[in-house]
Amino acid sequence: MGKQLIKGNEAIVKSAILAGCRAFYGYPITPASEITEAAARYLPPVGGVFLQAESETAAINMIYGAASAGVRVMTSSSGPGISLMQEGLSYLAGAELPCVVADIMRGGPGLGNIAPEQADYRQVVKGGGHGSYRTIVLAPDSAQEMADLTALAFELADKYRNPVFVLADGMIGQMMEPVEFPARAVAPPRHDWAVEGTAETRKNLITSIFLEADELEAHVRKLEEKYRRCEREEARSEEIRTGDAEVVLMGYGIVARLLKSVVEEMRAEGWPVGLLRPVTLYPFPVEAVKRLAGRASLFGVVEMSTGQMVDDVRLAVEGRRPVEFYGRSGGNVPSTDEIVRFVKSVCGRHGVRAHEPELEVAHV
Amino acid sequence: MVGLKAEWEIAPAPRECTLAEYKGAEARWCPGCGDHSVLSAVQKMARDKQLPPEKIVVVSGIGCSSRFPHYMSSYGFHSLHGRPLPVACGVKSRRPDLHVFAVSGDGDCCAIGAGHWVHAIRYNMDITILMLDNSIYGLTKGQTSPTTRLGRASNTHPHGSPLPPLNPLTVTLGISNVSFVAQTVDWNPPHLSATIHAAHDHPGTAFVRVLQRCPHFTGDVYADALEDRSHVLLLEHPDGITLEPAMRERLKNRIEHDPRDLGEAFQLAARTDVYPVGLFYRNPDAVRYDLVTAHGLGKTPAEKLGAIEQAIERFAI
Repeated sequence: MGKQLIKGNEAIVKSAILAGCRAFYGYPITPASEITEAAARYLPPVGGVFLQAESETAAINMIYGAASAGVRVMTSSSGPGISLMQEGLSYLAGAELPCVVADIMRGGPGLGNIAPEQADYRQVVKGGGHGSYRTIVLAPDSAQEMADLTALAFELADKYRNPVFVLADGMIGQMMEPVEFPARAVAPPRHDWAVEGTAETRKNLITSIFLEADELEAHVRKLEEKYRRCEREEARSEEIRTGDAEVVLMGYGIVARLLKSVVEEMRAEGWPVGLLRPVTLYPFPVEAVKRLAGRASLFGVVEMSTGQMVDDVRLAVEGRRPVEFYGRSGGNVPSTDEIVRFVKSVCGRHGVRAHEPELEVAHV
Repeated sequence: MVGLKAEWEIAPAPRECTLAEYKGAEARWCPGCGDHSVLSAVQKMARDKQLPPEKIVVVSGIGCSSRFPHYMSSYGFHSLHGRPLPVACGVKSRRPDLHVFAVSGDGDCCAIGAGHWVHAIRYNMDITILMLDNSIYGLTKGQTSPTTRLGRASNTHPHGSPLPPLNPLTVTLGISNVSFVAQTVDWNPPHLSATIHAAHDHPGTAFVRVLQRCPHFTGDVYADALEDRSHVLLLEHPDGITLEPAMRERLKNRIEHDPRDLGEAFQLAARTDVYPVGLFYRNPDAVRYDLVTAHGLGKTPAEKLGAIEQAIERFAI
């Protein structure tokens, strides 16, 4: 297919179609509307369903219906709309239905604004709905990953029969970058649990109600077992220059892109810094954090919020190393200069010094 | 909350309020947006009636029209998408002395807020609902709304809206305990102004649909009515919305309609060959939920303490 220069939001839709998604239910909201609009353009020609719902609450319940029928289905929204979907997400997880939800984060709380933030972390990663459930969360840091992780999201949704989020900030959603799509499309799979309106699937029951205490406890344990397996098998992360890093920087989405520049810039000055970028936010890359906590002396977490993912870093570090935090919010994206100042200041506080500057050739 | 009643009794100092006192921040809707004329009509109505600005609350939801409270120098509440009506009911039920306006749009009221719309009409609290209907999601840049015309293309229906538009008038007229339904247009300021006056005068929930143009996405939808006034049908009655003679003369297409006649109101509201403007229905005797919920208000501190002691007595062992 070759590379295309497209918006992150649009890359999600193209990738979803190639991954076998054949139904989309959405409601407009800035900065995620391009996903709904692209679904309106591209899904019907490939035999898919596009429906503009009357609200996000309606959209997520339409997803419940389509997912029950075994269709690969998705929706998209941003902060306030995701809040409205939480009720449905709990039901989807409870009924073990796969679906993909793209959350293109804007500023909050409340109406906030339409500029990029990363403050939906808690409501998405920790789950805003009721009950003992989790949602798998993937965090792209480029338009290319918007495509790649959307495809992965559909695979994981089916594998675990659970809602999967693609969680990106408004900047990743809005910016245009070259994206390469897979040459072949995935045929939508069939599921033996789905209700297809046939004699064979007539006895299939999709439900999240278990009135007997023991029955519900067994169901919750089964879900828990599934989440434990997901934690063992699906945690993904990217590392840059962590091998000898004394300072491990962590961030996701657009912040990770900034941190890559920060690492490069500071390494050139001899600072022993590296980057650990979580690609999956749930499951969180706990093992990678633990391993690096064994040898690094300091963690620096940067987010476009007042600190949400940093809680998960602290849980994984288990108090073995200091975890410092730098955050901007309100739609402000930190500059690499201000992050460098933050890193140098915490290095000073914790006694980490720059070594001899690296030579140009060291980058090769 | 002891003493709240006393607060209501603090009457604002008598003074002459000028139009400037109702004007808030500079309106930043697009040039040519119908919202400007509604804002101006509401400000002038408040000035004409000398409503103290501190006794006015404008509640809105989300959408272009919902910028409204920012542009009024009154109390305001820019609430959640689809939720201005419950917020307005919350304000009115606790503070019956305030003039409560709810400003919503076709997406905010008729899509995501439809559930609240039905019940707010039935509650019939003394509030004025201005539903600014530009038949498009303008703020999110051009998606189909529930009132988008059949076949009109948008970013979510590139081949045209596949459904007949929802008719907010017939829907509202069909809700139990409805008490005031009117329609006006953004391009006729005298009629717009007269309608907003009548809506505010009405003791109960007044539902006003304003047909208006979004210059960016739906600037052409009423071109027929702007070119030829006979496309507008003026509803007339001594108990209806009265227009000054000069303006009335210009609208040649007129019909006598008694606003107590719900059946005829339905027929007129359902017409698609013309744009009917005026008062479709008014029932000043409909039950008002705000009068019911106000029963607990206005008690003296002694009465309240007595009631609390009596309630606790019930659990004495």
